[in-house]
Amino acid sequence: MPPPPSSSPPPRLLAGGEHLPPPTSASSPEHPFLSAHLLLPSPSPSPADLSSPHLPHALAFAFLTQPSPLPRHLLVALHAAGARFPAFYQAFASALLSLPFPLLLPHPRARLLLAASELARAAAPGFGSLLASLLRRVPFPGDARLLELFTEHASFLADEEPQLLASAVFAFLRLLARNRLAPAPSSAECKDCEECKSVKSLEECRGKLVSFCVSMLRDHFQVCALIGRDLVRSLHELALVPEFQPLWRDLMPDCVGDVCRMSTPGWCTALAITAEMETQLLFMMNNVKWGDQKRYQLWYVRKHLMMPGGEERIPDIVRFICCGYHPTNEVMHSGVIARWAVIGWLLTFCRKGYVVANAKLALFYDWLFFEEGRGSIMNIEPAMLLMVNSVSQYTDITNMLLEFLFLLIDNYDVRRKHAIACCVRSAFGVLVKKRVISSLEQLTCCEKLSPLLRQKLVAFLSSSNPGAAEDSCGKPTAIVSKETELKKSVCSS
Amino acid sequence: MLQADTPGGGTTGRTVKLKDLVPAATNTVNTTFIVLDKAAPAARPPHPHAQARGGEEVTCLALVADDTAAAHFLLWGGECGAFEPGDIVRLTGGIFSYHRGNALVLRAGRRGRAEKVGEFTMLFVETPNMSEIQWGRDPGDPRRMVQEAVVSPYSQVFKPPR
Repeated sequence: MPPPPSSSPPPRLLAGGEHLPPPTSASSPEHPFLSAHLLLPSPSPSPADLSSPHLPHALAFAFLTQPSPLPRHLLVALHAAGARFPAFYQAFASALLSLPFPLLLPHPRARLLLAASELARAAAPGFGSLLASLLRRVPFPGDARLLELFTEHASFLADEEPQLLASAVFAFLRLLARNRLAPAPSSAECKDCEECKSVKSLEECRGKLVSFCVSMLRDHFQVCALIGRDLVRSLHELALVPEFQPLWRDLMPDCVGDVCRMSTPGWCTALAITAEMETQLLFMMNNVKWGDQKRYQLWYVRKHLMMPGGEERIPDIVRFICCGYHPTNEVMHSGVIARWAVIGWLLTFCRKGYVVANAKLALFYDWLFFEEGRGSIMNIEPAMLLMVNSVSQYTDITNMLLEFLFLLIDNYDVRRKHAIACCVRSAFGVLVKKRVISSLEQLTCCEKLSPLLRQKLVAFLSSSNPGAAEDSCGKPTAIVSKETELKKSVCSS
Repeated sequence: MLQADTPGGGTTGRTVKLKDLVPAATNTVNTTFIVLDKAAPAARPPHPHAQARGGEEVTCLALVADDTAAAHFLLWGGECGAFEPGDIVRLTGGIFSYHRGNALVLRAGRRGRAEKVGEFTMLFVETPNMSEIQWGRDPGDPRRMVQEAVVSPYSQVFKPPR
């Protein structure tokens, strides 16, 4: 005879293990769910259950763990509570968000997507943040449900939640660009469940993923443009994918200029990295002092970069550091490891040629479109500081970066070469004007730097058109040269 | 003394920092640390008394630290595979004592428990290393151990990364 249900242990949400806190321990993320479940084992739409303070967690627990098919009374209870208490949906979504996604067991993970789509269908408060957090997790087994969801609600989202739709387009474009459609591991723990057996991964529907992106770009370009210039960066990486070629032919030529003038917002760059990548990067840049970073870097590499497709994440990490995290002056002067140093370390980790190129492009991307008064100096600061601070000890890095910058100016967009040169010149100028560096002589007068590059830099900074006849320091070049001479003679005397 | 005596055994005692560790033969250490490094697992010949149970006991030495000090932590059996460098571990009812001769190590012991409670986001120092300190009996109170000398400021087993 089977044991009575009360004697079997409650189902688990997270992968366990002898050396993780058990759900009964207050330090387990499962604890609030289990406690609520014990108080309210099978939430029903009864008035008593609906007004219980334990309902959000208890319902989330039941929703994620009940065997297939999902009992109808749970859906009824969800929407009854949502209709009755305005804050309920939000509390339900927050409960789901509090679970550590990488540890979720396959069945609860599939159900989490079901819960997200149920909230989206009802346009319930809180569905946006839940979907945005799931977008940061792609690729994961069953992620095709996300694509279905965004495809289904695209028109609604374009009107009501344009930022969320833009987020989906960006997350999917980055996934395609990284070519990192990891094979979905089979849901071993949930073999007999039809619901789990039928989950699909984006890897299996690359065609649908591409056509979703293309149709969003065609039908809702203004929404996609919220991504800013990283939209163009992503589409460049996909320029050889046949489905994207018509876009480059008809749509993009007229839009590239305007979109590139728009800085990519921080929320957007955060979408392309996982929550753990972000937390750990921020910990390094906010708490870890100079000289203490070695072990953290080793752990970061082991955890995030030394796996298939890990290295391809680096350009997105660089974009996040440049645009997604702007430290306060207090943090900058607290002796913690600086953004430019983290980027320098990441660059030295790149092994594949195309990843190095994409990472350097990511670092300089905002330079190519920099406009004083419009662009943020914090976006262009890391590249400058990395070049200047590497010059004495790691001259190779400065040479490599400067050489790459000139390559970009000449080749990134040949038709807009002149405009790009102006933007880069303006970037140099503003960095000096705002005292990010004291003067460009740190580069132009540095004996260690390749003489060819130095000449090129001096020529570039002084090459002027009528109307912009100023060098980067805001002074005519002749004066700069004279000052340089003077300084040299002072130093040598 | 290290821990407050509470009814129900050592596992409910207060939490200490690593710099407050003192060698003692009691399972009363409650602390949280981050694993910095881990040596290769070593299969030791079974303890004579453990012979009846058969098999080898796998152990693995790790360097652990918090924001006050570092120490050597001895992982046993399943713990060897459960914890990786960068993991934040909470130890309850652990023991800091001499193991098999003169190695001063922290470990969960048979009654203690080590649990992974997080990763990465914890600050630490690598010196002093409490396992690299020579301890002696307090002349005034022979039940107490006191620091006599620093054998090495840093771990001699795990070198700090260059």
